Amino acid sequence: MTLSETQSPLLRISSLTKRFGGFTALDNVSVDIRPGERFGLIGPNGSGKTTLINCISGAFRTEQGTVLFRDEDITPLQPHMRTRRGIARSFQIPRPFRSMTVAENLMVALDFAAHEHVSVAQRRDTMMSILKQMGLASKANVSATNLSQVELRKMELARAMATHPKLLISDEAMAGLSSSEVDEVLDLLLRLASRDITIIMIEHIMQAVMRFSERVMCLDAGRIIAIGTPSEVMANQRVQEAYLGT
Amino acid sequence: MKRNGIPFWIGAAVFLAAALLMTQIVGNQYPFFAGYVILQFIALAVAWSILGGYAGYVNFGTSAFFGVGVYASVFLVKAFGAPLPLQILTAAAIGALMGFALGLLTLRMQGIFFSIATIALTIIIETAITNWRYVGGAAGIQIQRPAVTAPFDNYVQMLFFVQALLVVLAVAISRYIQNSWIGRGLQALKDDELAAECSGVPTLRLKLLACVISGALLCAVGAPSAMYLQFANPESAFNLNYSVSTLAMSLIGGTAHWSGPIIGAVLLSTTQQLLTVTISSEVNVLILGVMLVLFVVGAPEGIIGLVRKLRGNRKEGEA
Amino acid sequence: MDLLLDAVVIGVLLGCFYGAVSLGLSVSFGLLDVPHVAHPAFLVLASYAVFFINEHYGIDPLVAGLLITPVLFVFGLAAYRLYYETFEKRGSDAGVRGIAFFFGVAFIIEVLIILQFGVDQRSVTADYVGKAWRLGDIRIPYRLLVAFAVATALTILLTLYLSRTFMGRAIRAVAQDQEALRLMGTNPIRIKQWAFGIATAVLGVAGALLIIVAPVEPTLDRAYIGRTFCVVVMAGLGSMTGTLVAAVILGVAESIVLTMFGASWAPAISFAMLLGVLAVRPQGLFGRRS
Repeated sequence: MTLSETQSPLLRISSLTKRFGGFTALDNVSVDIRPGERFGLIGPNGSGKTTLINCISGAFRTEQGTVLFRDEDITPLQPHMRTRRGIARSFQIPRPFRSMTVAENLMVALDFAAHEHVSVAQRRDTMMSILKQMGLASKANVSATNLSQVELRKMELARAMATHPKLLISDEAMAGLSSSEVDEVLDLLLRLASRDITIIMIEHIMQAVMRFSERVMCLDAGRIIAIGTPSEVMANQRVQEAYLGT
Repeated sequence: MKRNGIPFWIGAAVFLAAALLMTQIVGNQYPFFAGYVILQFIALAVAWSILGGYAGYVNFGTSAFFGVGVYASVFLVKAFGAPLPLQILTAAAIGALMGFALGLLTLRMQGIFFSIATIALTIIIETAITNWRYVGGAAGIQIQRPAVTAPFDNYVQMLFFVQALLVVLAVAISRYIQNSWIGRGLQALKDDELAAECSGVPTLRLKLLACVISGALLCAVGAPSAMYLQFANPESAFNLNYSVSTLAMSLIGGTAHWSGPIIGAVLLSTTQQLLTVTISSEVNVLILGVMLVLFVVGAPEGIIGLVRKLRGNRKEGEA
Repeated sequence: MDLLLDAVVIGVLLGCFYGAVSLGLSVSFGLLDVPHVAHPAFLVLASYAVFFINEHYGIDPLVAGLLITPVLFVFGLAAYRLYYETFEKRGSDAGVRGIAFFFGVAFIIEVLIILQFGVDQRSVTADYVGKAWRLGDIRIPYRLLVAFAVATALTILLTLYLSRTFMGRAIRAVAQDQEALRLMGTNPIRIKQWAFGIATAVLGVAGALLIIVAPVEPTLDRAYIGRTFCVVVMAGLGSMTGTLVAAVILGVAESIVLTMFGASWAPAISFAMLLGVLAVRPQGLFGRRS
């Protein structure tokens, strides 16, 4: 699908700066994400990718800069309010609710991030259909502590999806998976993208990033060093140096 | 699902009827003295578990709320000669405000900082009351016996029944929370606060709510204590033993279900009553500490968890 | 004004003493994130051990403190192993249970001391206890000077250890990034165990100081929960010199309030400061966290 350049951005990050004591994790980062875009975020370890996600989702407060989502300034908002407005994220290391089953994990998101008033029965139906899409339907009543790594990753994404997001941020969902598992997750994300959900994907697996993204941004030491089409960014010398240099 | 409230309310009614009957039949005073303490700890443990068990914020300020309840009662009696129901209601209101203030101040703190902050609160409030001459200061103050209303013969029986009412109130509230969206949100934030927040759970608001409700109940339970002992002094009203006891009772009973603290409180409190009579109060505290450590290390889900495991194993065995 | 000056001087010395007893917690809680609310209880236990040795064998309390240091070190190693196996490994609920565990342990220690020694206060006899040094108009008790000297020495020793030795730097590394250390092939658990051992060992001398400075009684650990955590949190977790600075601030504050308002307000000061720091600047003065 073609994206109009004159459409207002879904997410606008302006001059975002985040410091931890003396260490600057993000330095004056600005970028616009278009609605429906498939956006890849890469960069060596410690470059600030997860920090950026934490600032977008509200887990971190920033020293400077603003985050606009659908033209609304969400910078002062707490994470749960951003979730209710349509920003969802998965965590790099999965954070399941351990005392609950897979179904209950999703029900938390469905109960609390609901946009309209839907009956409990309808929410349960939505929950089952999300689980089916993710290939987790058979695990609905399994405790979250009994899932394999890839199942945990899928549940992370499923739970994020249960919040009915307009923007989904996937933080290294494929890390440590086998190549067939990587393909599974990639297909999942592509299917979600085809339903008009804007997706930001953080990954180290370059083939996945190349296949998935319309645009890619590379961070290094808290700064944007390249942004453009996947092939442009991969060919960029500074990007290559950043990865090889570490 | 088995969420039908009728069995619960029937049970509560039976419990209250039994308590009332006891006051009419039993002549010996001792069961009421001991029973009062046991009921008090049941109510305290259940109230504590709303924040400490459901949300996982280990509140060490039970003593603070209890002591404030005692002294709210003392102040009202001394200044206005207020009747018992008014004392309890006022204590609850103060407890709610205290819970709110405590929550705002400390709930942003992680785990252990929150716990230590609640101890800090206890000591600070205790110090303040120790310096307040009007309610007796460090030496303490005598309280008159309350006026006894029918159908009770004496004040201990009356207070005993009042505590029974408070127990039912606390348990009903705890059960409601557990079965509602509040309980589910608290469970999520207990498991992983950040993930809950990012899944849309308004964690701060829920924690504050739990704090307010828990605080109100804890204070309300403390109010009749002044009359029960006919004496109040800061050192005993704010004794850290209340904090450790309620914590231990809830953890030993199990915090996943509203019945857990009841089990833990009945077990521990009855044992304590027996031991204080037979041995010393030091051994009492020792056993409390040892049981707490044993359960926390060996049976983290408490007695409820053990029962569930046994049932689960039996089911697998049968299949 | 003289009274105030007196209070400040005493406060500085007292503060240094508070620093000495908080150093162990700076390591166990500040660096290792162990919710060690039983630290003051261990401290009081150590001071009773010092009392016992002093009373039965006539050994100087500081020497007694040194004697029990290796015992405490081994005890610390074992305690951390138990803590790690039971709590840190198991994730989610561990925080709540860890705190409850240490509270339980603290209570047990308190009661055991009462059963063994009774509830009366105990103190030690030594040459420097009871005499004072006159500096102009100010009267400085020798025991406070001893505490000051030992505390400073301890802080310097510990700071040097953490920055100059291999093990010390490993401990600081583990506090910052456990995963990275593991990836480099070192076992972070062994390092943390060693660190906890040191944190507990320090309590030998600290316990001696405790009973030198003032008589001890079994429930003294409750007052010191406020003081030690106040110091460690105010310092910012993990900073040794910060611990000393924060401790001095607390000591001076306590001393001034004591002089101006009397003893009945004293118990609340450390806790009030702790609450204040937690509410306003949780990372402390020199903190390692954001």
